[in-house]
Amino acid sequence: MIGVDVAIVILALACLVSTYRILVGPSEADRANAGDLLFFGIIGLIALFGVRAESPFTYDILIVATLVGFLSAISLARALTRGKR
Amino acid sequence: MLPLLRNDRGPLLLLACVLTIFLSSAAAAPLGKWLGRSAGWLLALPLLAVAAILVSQFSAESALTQTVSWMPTLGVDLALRLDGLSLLFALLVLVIGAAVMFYSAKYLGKGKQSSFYVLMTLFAAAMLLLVLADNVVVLFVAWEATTLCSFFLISRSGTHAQEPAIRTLLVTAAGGLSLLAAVVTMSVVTGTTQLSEILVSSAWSDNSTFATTVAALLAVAAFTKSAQFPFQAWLPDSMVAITPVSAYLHAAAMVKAGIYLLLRFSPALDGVMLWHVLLITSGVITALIGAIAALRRYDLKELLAYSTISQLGLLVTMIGVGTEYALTAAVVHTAAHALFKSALFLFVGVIDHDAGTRDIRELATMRLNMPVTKVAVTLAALSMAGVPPLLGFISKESMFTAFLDAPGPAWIGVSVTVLTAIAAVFTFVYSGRIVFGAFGGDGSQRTVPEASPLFWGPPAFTAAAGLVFGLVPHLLDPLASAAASSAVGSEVHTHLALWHGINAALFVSLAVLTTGAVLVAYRTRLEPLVTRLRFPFSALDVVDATRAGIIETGVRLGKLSGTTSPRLHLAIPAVVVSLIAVYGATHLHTLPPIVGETSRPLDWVLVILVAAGTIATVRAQTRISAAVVTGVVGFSMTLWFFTLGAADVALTQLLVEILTLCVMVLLLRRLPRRFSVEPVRKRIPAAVIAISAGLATTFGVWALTGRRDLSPAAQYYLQEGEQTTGGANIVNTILVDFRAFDTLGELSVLGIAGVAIAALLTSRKPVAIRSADLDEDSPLADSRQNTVFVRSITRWVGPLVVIMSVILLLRGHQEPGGGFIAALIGGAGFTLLYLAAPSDTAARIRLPYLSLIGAGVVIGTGTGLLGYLEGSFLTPIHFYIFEMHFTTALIFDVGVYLSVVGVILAALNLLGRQHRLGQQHAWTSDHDTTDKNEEVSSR
Repeated sequence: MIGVDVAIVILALACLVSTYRILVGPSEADRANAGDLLFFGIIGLIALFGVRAESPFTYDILIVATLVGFLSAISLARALTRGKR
Repeated sequence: MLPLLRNDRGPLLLLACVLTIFLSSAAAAPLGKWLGRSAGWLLALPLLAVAAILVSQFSAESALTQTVSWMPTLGVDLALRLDGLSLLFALLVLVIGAAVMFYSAKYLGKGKQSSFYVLMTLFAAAMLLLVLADNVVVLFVAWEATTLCSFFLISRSGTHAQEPAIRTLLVTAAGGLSLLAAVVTMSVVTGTTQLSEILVSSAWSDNSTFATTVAALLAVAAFTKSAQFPFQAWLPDSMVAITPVSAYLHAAAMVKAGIYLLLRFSPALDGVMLWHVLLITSGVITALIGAIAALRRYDLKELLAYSTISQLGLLVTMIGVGTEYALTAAVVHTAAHALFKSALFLFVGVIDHDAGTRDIRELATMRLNMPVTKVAVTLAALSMAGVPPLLGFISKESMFTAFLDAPGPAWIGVSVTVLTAIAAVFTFVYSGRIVFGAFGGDGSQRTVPEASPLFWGPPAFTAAAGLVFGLVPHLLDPLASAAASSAVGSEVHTHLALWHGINAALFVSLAVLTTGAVLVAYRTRLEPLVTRLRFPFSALDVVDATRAGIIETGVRLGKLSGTTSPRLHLAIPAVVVSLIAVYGATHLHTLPPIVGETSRPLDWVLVILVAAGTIATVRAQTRISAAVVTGVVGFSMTLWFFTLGAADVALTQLLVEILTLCVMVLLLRRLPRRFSVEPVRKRIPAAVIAISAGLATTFGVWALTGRRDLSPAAQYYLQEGEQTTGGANIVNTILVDFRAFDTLGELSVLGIAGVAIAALLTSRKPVAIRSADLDEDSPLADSRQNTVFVRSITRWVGPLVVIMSVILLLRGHQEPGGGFIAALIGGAGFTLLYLAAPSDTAARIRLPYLSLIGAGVVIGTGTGLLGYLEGSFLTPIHFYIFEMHFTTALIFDVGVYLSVVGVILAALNLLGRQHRLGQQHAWTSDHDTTDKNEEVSSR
């Protein structure tokens, strides 16, 4: 399990780096991109925590998250163009 | 039939008397309508009849007491009592009232006069109840009733009377509240509300704090009602009322209510130092300032108002001196004043009515050819001035005798005598001004003829009464003795006489008369001197300034929290939470120990993630970055719920987070890119409050969680949940089986939110979408081609989302899922359709979202009602189809599903509409009335 723990820490650091990018920008597109990256980092963390906790429902969450998670990214893209497609 | 408690004599005669006046007030409305002003002739009759009954029922030996149960649980009875003092004041109310009624029949204009007569008779009834009351609560009720009648009678006179009426009400109501405080104090301390028992209670002598308090409260109540310093301002002001009202309320009756109160409580409060000091000082000051002010007035009615203040000041001083002789003098002067003042007021009304003015300067150009008026006014004015052989002389000489014999140090009696003698001189002078002012005209402009005898009859009667009682004073002996006995508290036998022999009081009277006569003779030279005398401030200013100050304070207090900005309204609960935490910190030693391990090393990963997201959110400067970092926090929370073992909650959190972000984006495109920047001086207090509230909640969560084993309810759900419901997913069975009522509430909340969105956005146009700077020549600008990617994905992902949604709905009872989660995934599918559409028009999802919401709520409630077949509301019913186990919980979940999807559709449809800045759109008010769905689909 030590490998899982290491992966969790690394992934969490990656998430923090994305958060830093969201904070400093400089453009809104950078923020949206970093947000997307961070979302997938968190999906990875869900998988790793699921392994660690031996939860049987990990895949349910992962399927749902990947199935509809990209909506937030598209929405942010829509926001950047002020709703223009 | 009312339960009769005690009745000494006669079949409840006293109550019948009061009721008669009340009934005549009810009859006044139709009478005033049919007979107009002539109704006064009829309405005077019950007053006279009641007066006759009271006189016939009165016996000097024993007071007549009658009690009817009113509010037995409060110990308050409708108790009435007729003794000497009551009889004197009742006669005053009734006889002067009858005279005013007769007079009004000629004074008023032709036409309907209902409201005047209703209020005047109502006032007479209230006044009668006031003087007959033998219960302090009844006394207070009657007191306030007279205040209200007075307010309405003044405000009847038109818009210019509104301010005076309000001032009168405020001042007298403040005094009324003081009386209420006295009433409560007395009934608590003495244990009874019966006036005659309170007066003989031993508490007055045993408990000096009590006696002093009540003395102060009663004095304030009486001073406001009787226009004593410092509450005299309202009386001259209320002269905007018509003359019969002024004569009755503000000369003879209502202002005497305060005098009655003081006389009534005299026996109990005799010897209380504060009582005597308050009454004497206030009375003397009032007598002087009233008399001086009266010297300066040209309006006869205003002059009379100040004269009333002054005369009442003399009365209060007499009551304050409080000896047997002084109280007798007060009683006699009350009667004398009521007679001459009502006559003067009514004759001023006659002059005003016939000459068209009551200003001395204008009357100087007329000649009043009114012999009867002249004689009667002179009689009344002489009585006021205290000239023999009128009743006013007797009362004033008794007054001086009383003051010279005043108890206490000699200087008090002497100074009071000197000061009141000065007031009496002024009284003489202004009495002269009335007579010479009214009848001293040169007739250069016109001559005014005499009024009809029906008009001058009633006031001439009261003026003549002053002469008759002056000449034959022993007629008044029985009444004065009886009234004085009640005021003194022991048997008094008085013998009124014009001639008392040569004594000090006679010399004072003579000095007053001579000085007064000299001053009247030289009045034309003295007048300019007096008019220059001015008080540095008028009393009206004080009342108005007080009112303005109270209003100002209210405005300031209101401004403290009267903001529409949410800042303050959020700060208050946050500060309160911090304070509660400070209080809680003092009880730490009572906390039970922590059970088991509440944190794991890897939790720190989550804490850091959430903290980073939160700090980033607070520091975000553009709206999009705020939306993104809020998403960071939301997704971290998903992770957190998952690691805590809450799969359903994590799923819901994830989906809600995504959909919130999608809806937020719909709003963001209508708002500016950056947040407005707050100045540092506003941010620092906000930060302090936020940090303290954060620490408080952290402390609260640490102190109040993880300190016990599993709750009994949780143990029950874990052990027997599956057996009872047939579902293995405990969270879902709690939601739809055990505590479905909460879920029904939640789905209704969501439905209402959807309806509210629709209502808000169809009644108010949302802010238009802000355009972004886009390069229109770029290949990226073509939206149809641009969306190919998303549209292609949608073709595959769309069906998957639908399948996933159905699977989660069906399996919810056993595994993570259920109505909410399934509906959120379905909603995400619709969001995908919306995002994939090549244009806003194509993006519209044409489903009747309001009907979906309605259907969801109906299905949810209907399933609940089905539960009555097997027990109670929302009980799930199990059934089998092809050997498969179903429960109505599934139908309930379908209801939840429809409701949630309806809300998401409402948000997408209504917020996703296209309204660019400057673009013409057919958004007019008639859309508010059209059906919302049609309105949306037609565009």
